[in-house]
This record gives sequence, C-alpha cells and structure tokens, in this order.
Amino acid sequence: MIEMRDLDFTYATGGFGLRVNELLIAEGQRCCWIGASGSGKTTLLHLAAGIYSPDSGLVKTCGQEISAQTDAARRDFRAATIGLVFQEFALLEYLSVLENILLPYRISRSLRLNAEVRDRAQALAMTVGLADLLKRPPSQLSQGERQRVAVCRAVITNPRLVLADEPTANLDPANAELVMNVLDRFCREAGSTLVVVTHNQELLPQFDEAIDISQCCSVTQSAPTGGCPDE
Amino acid sequence: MNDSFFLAWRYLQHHRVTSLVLIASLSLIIYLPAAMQVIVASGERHFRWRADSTPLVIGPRGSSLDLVLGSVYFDKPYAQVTRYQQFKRVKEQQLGTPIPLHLKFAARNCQVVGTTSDYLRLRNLDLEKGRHWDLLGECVIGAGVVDRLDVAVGDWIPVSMPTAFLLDSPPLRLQIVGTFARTETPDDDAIFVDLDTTWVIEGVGHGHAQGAQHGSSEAAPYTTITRENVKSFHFHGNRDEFPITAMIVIPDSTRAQTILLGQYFSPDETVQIVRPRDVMDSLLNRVVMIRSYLVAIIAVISCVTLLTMALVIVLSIRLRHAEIVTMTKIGCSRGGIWLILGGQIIIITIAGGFVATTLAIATNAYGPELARLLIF
Repeated sequence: MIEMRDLDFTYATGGFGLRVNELLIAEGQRCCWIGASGSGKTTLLHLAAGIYSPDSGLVKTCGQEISAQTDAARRDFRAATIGLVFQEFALLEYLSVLENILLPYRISRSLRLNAEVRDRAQALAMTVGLADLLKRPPSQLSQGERQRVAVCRAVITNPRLVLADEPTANLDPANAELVMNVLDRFCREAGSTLVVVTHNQELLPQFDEAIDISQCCSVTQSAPTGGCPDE
Repeated sequence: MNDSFFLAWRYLQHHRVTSLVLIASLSLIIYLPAAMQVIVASGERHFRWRADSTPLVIGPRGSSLDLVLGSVYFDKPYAQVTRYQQFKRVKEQQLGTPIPLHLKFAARNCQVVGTTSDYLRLRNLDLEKGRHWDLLGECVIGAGVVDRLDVAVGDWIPVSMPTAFLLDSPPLRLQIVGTFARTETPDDDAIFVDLDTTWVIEGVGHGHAQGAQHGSSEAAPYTTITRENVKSFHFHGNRDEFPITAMIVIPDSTRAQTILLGQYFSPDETVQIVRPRDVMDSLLNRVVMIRSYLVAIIAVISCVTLLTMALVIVLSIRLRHAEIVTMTKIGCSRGGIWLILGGQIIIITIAGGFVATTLAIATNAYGPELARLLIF
C-alpha cells in the first residue's frame, strides 16, 4: 500500500531533511507511526500522501509511483484515493457540518458531488452521532464533534488509504477513543489501510503494527528549533 | 466552477458585514461619477430647455442671475420691482408680446405668480381640473401644489404677507378654481393668479363692500373676494406706477429682439434686459467647472477606496492561509483556490455593479427632479 525506498527529502526552506531507506505498509493494515518530536513523522505522512515530493527515491502509494507524478496528478490522486485527518481538525468555519463533510467534492475536479454522495454523507454523519448537527457551523461544536466531522470528511470519498496526523492530540480520552473507533470501524468496513501518527501510547494496542519512525528513517538536517517545519 | 462560487458565496455570507461594506464601497465608486453625470446632464437639459423657451426677460437692474432664477425658475419670491409702465412701453413698441410677472408673494411656501393668460400659452399650461381664473382672488394651481398642500378645486389658500400689518386690509385668501396638468417644471409648484389679484394682495387695490372681509377666526381674519363683493374692489393711483417684478418678452422677430436688447443698454435705464439662455449658459459653465473638480475628487476617493478594498482582500487571503493549505492538502488545485478567491471578487463586483446600476437607473428616472432639489 505504501512503499518508500532510498528516499531523500529536504524542505525547500532548508532546516530539516529526512532519509528513508525502506518503509513498507501492507494493504488493509492498520498501523501507527510513533517517534520523538522532530523525527519526521508528519513529513513522512505528507510524503506518503504526495503533498511533498521527495528530492530522490521512490514513493509508491496504492500502487502509484507518486514520486514520479506531477503536482496536479498527485492532487487528483490524493483527492480520489487518500483520506486525510489533521490534528487541528482544519474545518472551514463558514461551512456547515454537512458542507464540511462534502468539501472534497467541492474542491477536487476528480470528484463529482451528487445525490448519492449527499445521502452517504448524511448516513456517515448519523453513524458518528452528528445527524442533528448537520446544519450547524463548526464553531458550535465540541472538540470531539469537530474531529468526528474531520474524520467524516476524510472518509466520505471511500479512500483506499486513510492518513491521520495525531487525530486525538486535542481530545479528551473519551473523545479520543470515540474518534479512533470511528476511524477503525470505517477502515475495517471499507477494507482501507489506516496509518495514524500518534504520541498516545494507550492507542497502540488498537493497531496491527506500531512503527517507530526513527528505526526506518534518519534525520539528515535538524531544524534549529528541534522540530521539522510541519511539526 | 459552480462549487468554487458556492464556497465563495458561503464565505461572503459568513462574513456578511465585511462583504456588505465591500459591496457598498464598490457601488459608490461606480455610482457616484455616473450619478453626477446623470444629474448634471439632466439638470443642464432641464435648465437649458426652460431658458431656451424664455426668449427675453426684462426686470429691475441688479443681478441678472437672480432675475432669471426668480422670473423663469421661480426660485423664491422676488422683492425687487419695476413699474407697469415698462410693460406698456414694450407693448406700445409692438416689437413682441410682453408677459408681466408679479412674483413678490407666496402662499404656504408656494410662489404666487401674478400674470396674464399669455404666460399660460407660453408655457403650454393645460387645465386638468376646473377652469381658468376670471375673477379677482381666484387662482389656478400647479400639480405640485396640489400634492404639497393637499388642496383641490374649491379650497382656499391664504397668501403670506410679511407687510400685512402696514395695510388696512387683512391678508387675502385665494380660491382655487382650477389645477394645471403636471409639466415637471417650476410651474408645477406655483399658484397662478391674475396680475390685478397680486395688486390687491399688495394693497394697491381693495374693497369696501360688507363681506369683503371675512375671518376664519378672530385671530386670523382674511380678505375674501366673492362675486357679491368684487365690484367694490378698485385700485388707487396711476396704473402705470403699479409694481411688477419682471416681464417675459417674446419678440416678433430676430430684428425686434436686437432692437429690444439695444434699448436697455443705457446706464440711465432702471431696468435690464437679459437673455435667460446666456445667463444659464454662464451658470452651467460654472457647474461644469465644479463638476470637473468633483470628478477629480471622486477619482482620488475611488482610488483610495479601491486600494483599501484590495488591502482588505489581501489581508483576508493571508488570514485564510491555514484554510488554503488544508484545501490544497485535500486535493484542491492552485487554480481552484484562485477560482474561489476570484469568485468572491466576482460576486462582490457583480453585486456592487447591480446596486450601482439600480441606483443609476433610479437617478436617471428622477434626474430632473433631483437636479431641481439639489440646485433650488
């Protein structure tokens, strides 16, 4: 599902570089990436999603060699194949819950919004307990509800791969468990691969595999602050 | 494309105050120069047409502009007077048709115009209701007076007389016997009476018969002229010395006009003759000059407003950096981002243009009226 080999990456602004010898994630696997701050977990996640392009080496995601693709091709591929969950939820304040869930269909030219997608969004919202909140703006939701909206937005396109960057970092334990259960349930039902970057040791038993990033990749340049630009 | 506009629209909806301020600013930038152009152009048309249809005006020496504004546009009651003999002088020369005007009085803030039936023909004033005056104390009112004073044929209008206390008789009240059709000219806001009636108002003429003086109350008695007491009304003194404010002269020919114009150049003359067209041209040239200044000021204000709007938009884009990054990560292209941001600008521009166009159409429809309100 994810294959990275002999990969070198340095931010254009400099300050942080990463080298990956080999990293393999099998299809349908539910794994988490752990590691110290500044070890490059988020950078690696972005490389796997095709948000960043490596300086050299191979990145293959869902069978596509995205390291050889253009920006536009990677964007279309990402919109259609990958669901992304962010630590800060990244919901659009001016859209309602339902509109936020449907956002990928509004902004990607490779996806088409239709009645079936709307029905699916409503059904998805119902399964995560958001059915009564569909018309509300994110500002009227709790943190847990916001992250559930973000998860719905990530999985509405039925992605083959879900990449979640510290999805429970801003949540209390109860909401963290709820969000992880939602992600886990969707990936099991859809047969999707799940990769979660986390610091939360309590979550580790939920995954098939926990990968310590520092074991498979090395930092070639450290940022002065000790963290990489995305962390 | 539709999705980009949807997101743009939702963003503007969410930030409605900012959006409305931007739309209002843009509307004003578009509307103000257009409105000024429309008002000035329609004002020019309106004023020139009235001046063009008034060949010559003879009146007391002094400001020619005041004379024209008072006697052609009924700007305000005109205190300066000349004598009726000036009217007779033009008439006897048989160079044209003189039309006397007495414009010294007002009734409930409407100009009372003492004149002859020649004036009604000159201005093509058609009766809408009632009849023309045929008795002292009767008046025919313009359509604007009907609206402003809420009066109709058969009602009475008391004439304001600042000097009434100097006269033996109390102020005259006029009976409305007819109303004129609307003309969209200053005639709409005037009360027309026979010249003799204005002399009665002035106190040059009066009546003695019982019933000539009636009062609506003890505190405000009025002189009322009826068919029963009209014969008791008479004038004292030489008619030639009776006051008139001005006269319009319709010369028989270009030659007659030239002769008339030449007659009043002498410094001994107590009256002046003016061509309203020339006077208004001079005034409108100044208006055009002022308009140029205004256009320059509006241009500067528009530039500043546009720059401010650009700043607001740029700042909002910077504030939305995190949102733009999220959309890019999810799969939105750079073009898609610009389409959303551009969509906002397009929506604001269309809304601003629509508001400005609506206002401009309304201004165009009411241009002459607005010009009159603004200038008088």
